Amino acid sequence: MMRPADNPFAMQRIDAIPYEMRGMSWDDLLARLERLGRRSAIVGPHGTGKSTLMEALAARLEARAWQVRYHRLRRDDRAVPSSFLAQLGPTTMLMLDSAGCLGPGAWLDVARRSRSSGALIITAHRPGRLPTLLRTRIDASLMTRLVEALLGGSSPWPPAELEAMLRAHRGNARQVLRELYDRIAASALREV
Amino acid sequence: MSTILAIETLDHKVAYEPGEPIDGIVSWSFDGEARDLELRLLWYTSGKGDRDSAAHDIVRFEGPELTDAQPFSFTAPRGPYSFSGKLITLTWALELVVNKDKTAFARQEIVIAPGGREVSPGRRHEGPTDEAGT
Repeated sequence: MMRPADNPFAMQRIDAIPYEMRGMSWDDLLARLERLGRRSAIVGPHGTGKSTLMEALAARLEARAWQVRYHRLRRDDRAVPSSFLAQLGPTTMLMLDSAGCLGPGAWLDVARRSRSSGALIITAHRPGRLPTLLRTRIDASLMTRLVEALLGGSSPWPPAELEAMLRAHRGNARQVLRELYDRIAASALREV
Repeated sequence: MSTILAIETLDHKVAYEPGEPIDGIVSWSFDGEARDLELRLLWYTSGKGDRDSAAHDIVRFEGPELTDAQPFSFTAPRGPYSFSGKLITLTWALELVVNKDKTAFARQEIVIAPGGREVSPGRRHEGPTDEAGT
C-alpha cells in the first residue's frame, strides 16, 4: 500500500508548489500595492492560491525590510487576536488571511485599528472590503501544469478531464487535487 | 560557500523504541555571521488532510561558534508512534534550524515505534499510539 506521505498529491507536496504569477511580474504587483495605498485585497474563490500568493508576497516584503505580521482566520473565528493589532508601526505589514470570515463589525474594528500599520493585505472570496490587488483563478492549463509538477511528468488525465473536474469543484484546485489523491491511493491499493 | 548544517545520530541509527535514548552530534559551519540554532525532536503529518505538527523537545545552541559540533541526547517519547494509515503518515524527525532563517535547516527522519518499525494498518502492535507529544 502507498504511504500517504508518498502520494504525489499529499498536502505537503501541494503546499510546496510556488505561486505562479501570470500576466504581471512581482515588481508589477508590488507597484500596484503602492498605488493602492498599501491597503488591498487578494480576491478569489476557495482553493485558487490566495494563501499561497500571500505567503510568497510576505517573503518578498520581508526582503524589503517590512516586518510582516501574518494571521490566518479559521471559519468559526469572529475576531482577530488582540496581539495581531498591538504595537503597530510604519514598517508593520499586516497580512490577514481569510478576512471574509469576519462580520461587518469585526472588520470595521480591524480596519480602524490597523490604520497605524504601514500596510494591510487581506484575502477574501469576494471583493469590497479593500481595493483588489489581484484576483486568483485556476484554469485548465494551470491545473494541468499543477498536476504535472506534482507528478514530475505528464498528466495521465487529459486537460478536458481536469477541466471537467475543476468545474465540478467550482474552480477549487485544492479539491481537484484531493480527488486525484484518492484516485492515486485507490489505484495503488488495487496494485497490492 | 553557504551555511552547512548536519545531524548525525549515534551509529547512524534511525529507528528507536519508545523510551530509548536518541543520541548524536549536530554540526554547523556558517557562511558569515553565526546565529543561534535549535535542534528539535518533532513529529508532523503528511497526506490528504491538513498538516499538523508538534515539537516534543528542543535543544538550543546560543552564541555558537562559526564552525562547531555539539552532542545531543533526547529520549524517544512514548507516543505518538511513527504511523502510516490510509489518510496520513505521521513522521518523527530531528530538525536543526537557524534562528530567523527559514531556508537553512537540516532534517533527519527517524522512526519511533515498537520494534523500530512504522505502524501501519494490518501490522500488529501493542501499547498506546497517542500519548505524549500530541
